[in-house]
Amino acid sequence: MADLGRFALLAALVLALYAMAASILGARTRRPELARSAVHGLVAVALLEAVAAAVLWAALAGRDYSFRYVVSHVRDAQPLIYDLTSFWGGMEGSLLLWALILSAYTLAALRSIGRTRPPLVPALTTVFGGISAFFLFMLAFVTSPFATSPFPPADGRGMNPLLLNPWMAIHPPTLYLGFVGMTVPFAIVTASLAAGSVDGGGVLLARRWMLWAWYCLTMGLMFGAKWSYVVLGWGGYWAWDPVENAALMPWLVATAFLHSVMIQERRQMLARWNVVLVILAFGLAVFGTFLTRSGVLSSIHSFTESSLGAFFLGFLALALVAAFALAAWRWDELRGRHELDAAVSRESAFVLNNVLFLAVAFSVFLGTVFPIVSAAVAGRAINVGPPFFDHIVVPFAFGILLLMGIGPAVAWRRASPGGLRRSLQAPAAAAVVVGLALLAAGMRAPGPLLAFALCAFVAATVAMEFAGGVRVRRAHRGESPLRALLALVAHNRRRYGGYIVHLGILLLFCGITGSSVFASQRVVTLAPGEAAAIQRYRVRFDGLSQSARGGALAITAALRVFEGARDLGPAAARRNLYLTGDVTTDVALRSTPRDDLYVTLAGWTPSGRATLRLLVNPLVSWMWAGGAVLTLGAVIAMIPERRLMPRAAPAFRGAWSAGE
Amino acid sequence: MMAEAGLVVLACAAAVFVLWPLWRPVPAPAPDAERQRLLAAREAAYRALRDLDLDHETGKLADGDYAALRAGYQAEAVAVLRRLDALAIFERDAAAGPEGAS
Repeated sequence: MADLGRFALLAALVLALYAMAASILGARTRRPELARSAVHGLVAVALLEAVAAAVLWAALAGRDYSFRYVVSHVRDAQPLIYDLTSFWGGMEGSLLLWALILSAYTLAALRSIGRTRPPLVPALTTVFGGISAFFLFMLAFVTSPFATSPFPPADGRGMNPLLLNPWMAIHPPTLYLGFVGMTVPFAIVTASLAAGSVDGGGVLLARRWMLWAWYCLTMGLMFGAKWSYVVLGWGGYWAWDPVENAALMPWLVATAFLHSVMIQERRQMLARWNVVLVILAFGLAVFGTFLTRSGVLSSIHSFTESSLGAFFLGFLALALVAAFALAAWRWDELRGRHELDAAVSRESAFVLNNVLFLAVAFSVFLGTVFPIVSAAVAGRAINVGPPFFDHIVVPFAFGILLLMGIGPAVAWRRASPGGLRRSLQAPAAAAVVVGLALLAAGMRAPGPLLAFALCAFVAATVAMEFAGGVRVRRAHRGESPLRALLALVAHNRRRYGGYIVHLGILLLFCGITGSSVFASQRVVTLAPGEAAAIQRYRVRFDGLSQSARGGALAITAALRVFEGARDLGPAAARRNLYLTGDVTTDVALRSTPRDDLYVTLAGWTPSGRATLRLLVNPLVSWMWAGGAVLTLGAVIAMIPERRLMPRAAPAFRGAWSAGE
Repeated sequence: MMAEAGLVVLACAAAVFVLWPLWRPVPAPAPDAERQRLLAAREAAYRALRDLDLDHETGKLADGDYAALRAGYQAEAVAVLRRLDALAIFERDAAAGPEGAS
């Protein structure tokens, strides 16, 4: 079995290299059959990787302890589902997943682009072949998932118990779909530059792929945050950990791109800038993979220290140099056809938005690599903690929020002062009303006041965009409000899908503000029958019990929760002690739209007293709701709009017509 | 022994699949950079016109600015359509060859 896996990876590596060589030769000698053969090579690579993946999954499911990877990630007492998800629980398996996802994207992109832009296919094949070859080289020669042991143990070590959680089962693959997804826009852009098909550097073609990768990265980040919240037991969901930052950086750059690409679509401007953003997003995705696997930074998420870092850095340097060299080569051809018409316009708002996103990305990058830089320069790794990130990022986040509100209210090309005033009056009033209401309710901290007022401002702008579109549509067609709203969204999916995404981000922002500023905490030691109050809740401790659960000794504190006089029912906070020395926490969590009551068992005494950590985290559920709203908006925005106009007729007066 | 034979079969199957196109010549795809550039420009002009109309109808754009900007975009769209038409005529003539073109 292991031989088959090793052979499949080796053969896939040979074929990826062949695909690279054949596509280059095919393009240079104008022999399309060579280019076609190269594409077949990448199809075969995908099939061979699928064979390798099947071998690994079979070994995991069959608990074949002759595989070292299986020994490290599986044990007899572990549930089968986690045996299967341990495929991506370790370095080797996760790299195989990387390669597998890359091949799936490769085939999808070659099929899609082969239909609309066949001349791009040879260059695309070269880029995809090159990237696949790197990962296959790593899998075949540096960190093989098919290493075997001549004397297999009777049982394995199993996964880190912290990873035995449904959120951790789906977090890595979702994140990889985003990370690896950044490869497709990168491949399209570099292939377009190489092939001389520089209508905007292939950027417009790359937009939809970037949107998908962005969405996957967003959900990967959210699943990771949810895992951190419910599993780690510290009461938070984001710690500015290097590996979290590694996923955030390409997300920020991709977000900037998704805004600036709209300017390129409408005004044929900023092609150079967008090319740079696509290359940066890919570079940061690879850099994130390097951070996770090199062991250069300590993180709860990273794999063990290894020699992979040098390979990743070398690959990253090569990819960036090649891509930027291509961009430099085509620099003149990427020149924009227009300039900004006015200082106050949608374009200017997007440019400013890009500046802010890039500033945040740079700050996060700086804070993340600071330990490496300080170790190299001063000989001592100096970590910058969450306060650094909070101080730097929060002001930028306010700026981005403000632009989220102003952007939709500003017209493309040139905003009229009167129109701008009219568009912003109601949102500004909404912000003032919310600010005053919160002041009246007793909120005094200026940061949260500003944050919630700005959220109201943005929400009102979005509402007005919907209302304005419905009004125009009804005036043209006399439709009912609901029908007009549905038709408006259906016919302008990208625009209104984007606004719904903004609403999701608002919910996220409110959740982050509420939970990070207004959380309250108490640590109490209680005897059975005693109770402790925190905010509107009262938690009664009813006693400790011991049990065996999934190969661990579980110490459970039985609780009963009250809100005023109302009995909210029983709850249980638990610590699981593993023979390996690992300890995990099961949180007693009661979640409402207003707040979360979050109780963990911090310790206990032989006499049966328990030390409990009680937290009330306001608005956390708004964050998860924001993820759902964001998904709705992203799905709407990703559904292709039909061609704007029929082939022959130009769009004259009434082209928009409130939805064609 | 069986395992080795299986690997050889897998390798042969992969090799045949990959090399098969070399014995089946395929026509070269036509370079389409100019056409794609024009199509993108056309879509951009249409999208801009649609957004302009919406911005005007929802009161974000003054009448004077709207008229001036719309005239500019219309001229751009017409120019792109003319170049697309010219390219289509050129491609049709090129496909027909010297006899077809005459």
